[in-house]
Amino acid sequence: MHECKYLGTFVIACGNKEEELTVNLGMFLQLTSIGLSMGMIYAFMAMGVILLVRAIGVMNFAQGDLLTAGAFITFALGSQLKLSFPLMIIVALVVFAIGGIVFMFSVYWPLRKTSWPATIVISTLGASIVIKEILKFIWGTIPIPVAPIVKGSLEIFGARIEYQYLIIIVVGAAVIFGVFMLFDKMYVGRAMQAAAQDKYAAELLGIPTIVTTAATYAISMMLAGIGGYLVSPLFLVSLTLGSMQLKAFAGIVIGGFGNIKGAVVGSIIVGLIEAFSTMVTTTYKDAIVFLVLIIVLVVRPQGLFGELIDEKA
Amino acid sequence: MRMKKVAAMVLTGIMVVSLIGCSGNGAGTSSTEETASKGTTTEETSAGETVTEDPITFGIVTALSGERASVGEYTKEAAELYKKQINEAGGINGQMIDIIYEDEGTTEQSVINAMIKMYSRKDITGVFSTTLSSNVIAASPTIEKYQTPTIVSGSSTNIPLLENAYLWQARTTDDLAGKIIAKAAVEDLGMKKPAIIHLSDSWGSGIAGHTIAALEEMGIEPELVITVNVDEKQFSPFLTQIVNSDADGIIQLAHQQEASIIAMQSDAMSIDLPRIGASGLASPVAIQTAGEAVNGWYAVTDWTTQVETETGAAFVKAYNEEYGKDPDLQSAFTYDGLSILGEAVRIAGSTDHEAVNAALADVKDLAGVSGIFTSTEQRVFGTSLFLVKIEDELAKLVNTVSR
Repeated sequence: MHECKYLGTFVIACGNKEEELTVNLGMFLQLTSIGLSMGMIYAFMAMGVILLVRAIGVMNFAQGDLLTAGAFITFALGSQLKLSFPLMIIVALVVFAIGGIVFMFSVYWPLRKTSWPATIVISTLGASIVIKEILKFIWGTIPIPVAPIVKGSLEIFGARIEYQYLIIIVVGAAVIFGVFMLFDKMYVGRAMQAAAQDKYAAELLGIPTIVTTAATYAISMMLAGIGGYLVSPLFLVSLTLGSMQLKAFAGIVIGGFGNIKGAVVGSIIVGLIEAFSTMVTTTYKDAIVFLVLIIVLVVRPQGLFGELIDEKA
Repeated sequence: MRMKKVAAMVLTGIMVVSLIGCSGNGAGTSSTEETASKGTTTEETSAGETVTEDPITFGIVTALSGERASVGEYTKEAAELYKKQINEAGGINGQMIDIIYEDEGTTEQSVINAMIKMYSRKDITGVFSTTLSSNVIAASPTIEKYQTPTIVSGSSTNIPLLENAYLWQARTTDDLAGKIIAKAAVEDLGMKKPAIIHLSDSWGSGIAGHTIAALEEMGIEPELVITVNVDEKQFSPFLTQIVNSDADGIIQLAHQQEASIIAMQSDAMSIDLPRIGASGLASPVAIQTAGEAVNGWYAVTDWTTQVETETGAAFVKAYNEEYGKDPDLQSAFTYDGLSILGEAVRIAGSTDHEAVNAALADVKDLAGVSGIFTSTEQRVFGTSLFLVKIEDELAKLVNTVSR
């Protein structure tokens, strides 16, 4: 056990001379901003996955590739076609919505009446490969740099926080709020929830489930696309951006499977764990995230906000 | 019910067509790419019949998919350029050459599978691979089993320790790179307490070990040593630790993509410490990716487009004429690797594996595009490295250091 010494306000040192662990306010702010922003990105993917799970009952294993596609599309609109920022955002959202609907009709719709749910899962796995290959065919394999929305960093208490991280946090919070308002206050959101809970009853009430399912896919793609646009200035526009979906899945499980609020909170927790774990390890930070996942599954298998299903006798 | 029958018929049809396609393709799977023209030579016999002589076939195992697919792109370009130039000059010993590619995939096992597939061909004279050093070490037993001369671009000092008679390294090993990096960091950049960020793979750990050893010989102890996983993208937490430590410089030892991201993220955090990197940082791809963020960095590298040799300059010119862009690090490795193989075939006068492998030991003072290549007892050909400074997004030559 390391002995910790208090060196002053917000500064502590733990351990012997060779392994001193010093935390100061600047570092704390820096890691918190990194953790929160990455948590937001994971939350974008997680929300998209949960919306689809609630609508059609199947996990979408191509969500990470939809995020990658979002990064490439916004690069094309902003850097290649040189659209102005407001126009680029509007066109991108429209393209994402259309893309989501196309995704639905090509990956889910033909298989919607299957008696074997794994069919749709396999279809999403295939879609993941197809999306990657299409992106590779159009844009090649070399990672592409894109400028951040606002260049530079904020210096505060010794921390140097890139503005892009702060923008991700602000935009992420706004989008999450918007999603909650949609499903909590607006008729469209309630109709989508109704259709997700009971398609037959919703149809009887005059809610067209094909429209609500298409809307769910459109929103899911928009969430992924926005996430891709926000993260690409940090990590380059590349075919490997989609690997972050694993962390999103971890966030879903930690928060409680099937629960949007849980997906958001779980994803933010994953982001923070990932950031702060670098204080103690640099190569095993991902292992720490999944260790926490395992601990949550053992201690509280329903997740933080999920409901425990009683065992049947 | 009817839909099920139609679906079953369609699926059956697809399977039949796939099987026909596979059996018709001698290479076997879609991960293999064969060049369009075989470059065969034909001659007339005294009886007036036309005889076709098979080309000398080299195999290349490289990344055609996954994270490192850009490596494969540059590798193929350089290989095709080499093939074109050699065939236009009359081939090797009068025989044309051909090149076959296998995708190394993304795991050690997929690299081994690709090697096995390549070695199983009867027409392969020698193999060049751009796979990472850690994959080379994993594949070494396979290379030894198939007894096919194989040149790799990996530079880990662990590779010669395998004592594999059929495994050769085109580039000089990382002990020289570590010494040059340490010397430049201390003497040129004035570092007294450097922070080192290095990848966790065999190459990264190896070059870090050599750099630290060289620093310690100069009485310098690193302030921080941070190990990161290959394909890591989030370096801000590590850079945060460096900024909050007493480190007075950054030494980064990473491959191209990671190196460019480290440069970008340290620039975004306005980190203004003296900084130096390894060969990945000085590659045209990394410089193009990182843009002006990479200006001011020093690097120790096997290749720069600002190379001053005639062979190197001619290669840059030819590459630009053919592809409209500068050759990357992998392009230079591939071109030199194939040049060494070609030279060995020329010396051997044969495509027999044992003869070519023996002839590799006789390669001396071969003028490659990135330097002079001479075989050593450790089966390493490379003899020099460049110290460059990146200014105006160009890796400008500061010094050439030879063994």
